[in-house]
Amino acid sequence: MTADRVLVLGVGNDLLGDDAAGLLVAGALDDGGLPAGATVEITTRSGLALLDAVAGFRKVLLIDTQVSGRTPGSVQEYTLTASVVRSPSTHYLGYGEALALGAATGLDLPEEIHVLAVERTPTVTIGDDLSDPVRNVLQAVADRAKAIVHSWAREEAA
Amino acid sequence: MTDHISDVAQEAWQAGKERADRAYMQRRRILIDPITRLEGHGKIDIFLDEAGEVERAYFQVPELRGFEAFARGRPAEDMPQITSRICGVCPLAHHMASVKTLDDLYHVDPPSAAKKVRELDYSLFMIEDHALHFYFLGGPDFVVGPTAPKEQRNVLGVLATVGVEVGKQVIAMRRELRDLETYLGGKTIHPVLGLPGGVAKGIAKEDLPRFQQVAERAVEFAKFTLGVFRSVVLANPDYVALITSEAYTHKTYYMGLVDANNHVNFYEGMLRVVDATGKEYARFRAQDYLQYVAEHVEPWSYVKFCFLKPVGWKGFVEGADSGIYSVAPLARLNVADGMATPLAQQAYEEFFSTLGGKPVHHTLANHWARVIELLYAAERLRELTADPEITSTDLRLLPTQRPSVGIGVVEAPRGTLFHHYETDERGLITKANLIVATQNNAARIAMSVDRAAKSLIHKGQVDEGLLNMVEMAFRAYDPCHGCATHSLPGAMPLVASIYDSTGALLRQMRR
Repeated sequence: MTADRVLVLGVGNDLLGDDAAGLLVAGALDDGGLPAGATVEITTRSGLALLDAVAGFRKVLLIDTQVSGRTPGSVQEYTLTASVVRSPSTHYLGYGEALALGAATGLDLPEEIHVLAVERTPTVTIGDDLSDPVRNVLQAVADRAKAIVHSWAREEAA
Repeated sequence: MTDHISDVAQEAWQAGKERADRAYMQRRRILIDPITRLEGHGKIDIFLDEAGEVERAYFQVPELRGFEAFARGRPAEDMPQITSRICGVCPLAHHMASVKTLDDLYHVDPPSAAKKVRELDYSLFMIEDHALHFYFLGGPDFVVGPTAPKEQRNVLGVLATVGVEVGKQVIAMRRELRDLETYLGGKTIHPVLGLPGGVAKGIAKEDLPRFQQVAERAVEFAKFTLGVFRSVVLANPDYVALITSEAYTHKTYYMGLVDANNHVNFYEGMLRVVDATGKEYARFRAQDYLQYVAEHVEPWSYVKFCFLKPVGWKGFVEGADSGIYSVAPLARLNVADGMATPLAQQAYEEFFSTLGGKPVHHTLANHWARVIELLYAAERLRELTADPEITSTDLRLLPTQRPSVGIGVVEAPRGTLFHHYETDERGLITKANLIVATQNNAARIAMSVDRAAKSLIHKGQVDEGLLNMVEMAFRAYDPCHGCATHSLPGAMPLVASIYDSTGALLRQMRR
C-alpha cells in the first residue's frame, strides 16, 4: 500500500510560539508512520507558496494553525476549497484565493486538500514557546494525520 | 388640552429621539476588518462625530515584539537565517539586510563578484514580489477598479480583466524566478546564500544561459506589465482623478537608497532624503541612521512611528516642520534623480511628467512606481547576467577582524529596511534592532487612512465601495505587519478600542 502523490504539508513559523505546530507535526510524521511514497514538506512561506508546494500532488494534508476564537489546542478539520472571498488568512493571498488563482490558470492542483487546523493562542512575541494546550495536542494531530494518509493509501490501492 | 399633551409628548419624543440619535452617532463606529490581502492582522477604527463626519480614523496592527530579547546571546552569523524567518513574504529582504550587517560587523568588504551575485538574487526577488503585488494584491483595486462590485474585486476579477493567459504568464514567470532563487539559495525553507564577506554559491558558467534567458523574459514581462498599467489605469480618467485626488495626497519627506549617481538602487548605496519640495534634505550612510531616524509612540498603537530626528515629531501633520517621511516605491522614485537602466528611465520620466513633476505626493502612485521598479529590476537582472564577472569563483573574503557593531540596509519591496546588531568580541549578539519598511511608513499610513476616511465618508453615509477606497489608502503602501503568522480562514481576533480626546480608554470590545 503506497501513498504516491500524497503530500503532508506543515505550515507555520517556528519563531512564533504555537504557530510552529504545523511544522512540528509534519516533522514528526517525516520520521515515520506514514505509508510508503507519501511526501512530507514544511514551509514558512506565505500565499502563493501554497501553489508551489501542492501542484502535482493528488491529495494534500495541510497542517496549520488558526485563530478562530475556539479553545487553544482544539482541532478543526475541513476541505479547502477555492474561494474568491477575501480570506482573513494572513498569508499573502489567502489559501482559498491562491487555489482559485491556481485553478483558473490551469495548474495541476490536487483533487483534495484536507486541512487539520490547530487553534493557537495569538502570539506577537518572537521566541515564544508553545503553549501547553497546543503542545499537548500535537501527538493526537500527528495520529489523526497518519490515519487520514493511510485511508488515502487504501483508497488508492482499492 | 389633549392636543397640548400630545404636542408635549411629541416634543419629548422628538428630543429623546434626537438625543438617542446623537448618542448613536457618537458611538457609531465603522470597522473595516480584517484587512484583507495583507500579511498580518489589522483593523481600522473610524470614529464619527455628531454630524456623522469622521472625527478620526485609526489604523492599528499588532506588531511583532521581542526580537531583541530573542536575538541576544545568539551568534551573529545565525541572524541571516533567523531574521529571514520573521517574514513569510519577503525573507530575502531580511536575509540580505542581515548579511550586509554582518559584513559591517566583521569589517569585511565582499569581492565584487559576490556583491553582484547577491544583487542578482535580490533582483529576482524584487521582480517576483512587485509583479505579484501589481497583479494579485493591488490588482483588485486598480486593474479591476476601485468602485467595481465587491464580488469582482479579487484575483479572478483581475484575470477577467487582463485575460487568463496573462495570469498564466505571471504564474510561469514567478516559477522561473523562484527556480533561480532556489538555485542560489538552496531548496530550503529560507535562503542560505549570504555569508559575512560574500556568498556561499555563485553561478556556474554552463548555467548562465538559463539566467540570461529568464532575464530577457523578465524584461519583456515588465514592459508588458507597464503596458497593462497604461491601458487599464492611465487610460481611465476616473482612475487618474482618484490617484491625484486630495484624499490620497500627503506632502511629506521621502527616504530611499540611491547609488553614486543618485539613481534608485535596491541593494546598496547611500540613504537620501528629500523634502516635500523635492530638495535634498540629507544624504547619509546606513551606519548613521540613528542620527536621522527616531521613533514616536502613540497610546493607541503598538507600532512605533518613525520620523526624521533632526526635524522632530510634530504630530500627524504634513509639511517641512513635520518629521514624517515615507519609504517604498514612490519614495524611492522621489528621492532619486533617475533610474540606472534605459527603459526604466523612460518610464520614470513619463511618470513625473504625467503627474506634474517631482516630487509626486499621491499615495496611490505607489502602484505605478512599483511597475517602473519592476522594469528596473528586470533590466538590472539582465545587466548582471551579462556581466563577465557574474560567473567568477572569487566569492568570499573571510572575515578576520573582531566584531563590534554592524548596521546594514536594503530597499525591501515595501521600503527601507534597517538591521543593526552589536556583539561581544566572540560575535554573540548583545543588542539588535530592526526597522522594517512599514515602521518607516507608519505615520504617513495613519495619515492616509485618516485623510481618506474624512474625504470619502460624509453624514454617516458609508457604502462598501467607500470603505474599499479607505482600505486602498494603506494597501498602496503594501504594509507588512505581524509578519508570518499563519492563520487559516476563520474569524480573526478582534479588539475594538475607543479612546477619548485625552487618549484614555473608554471602552473595549472583543470577539
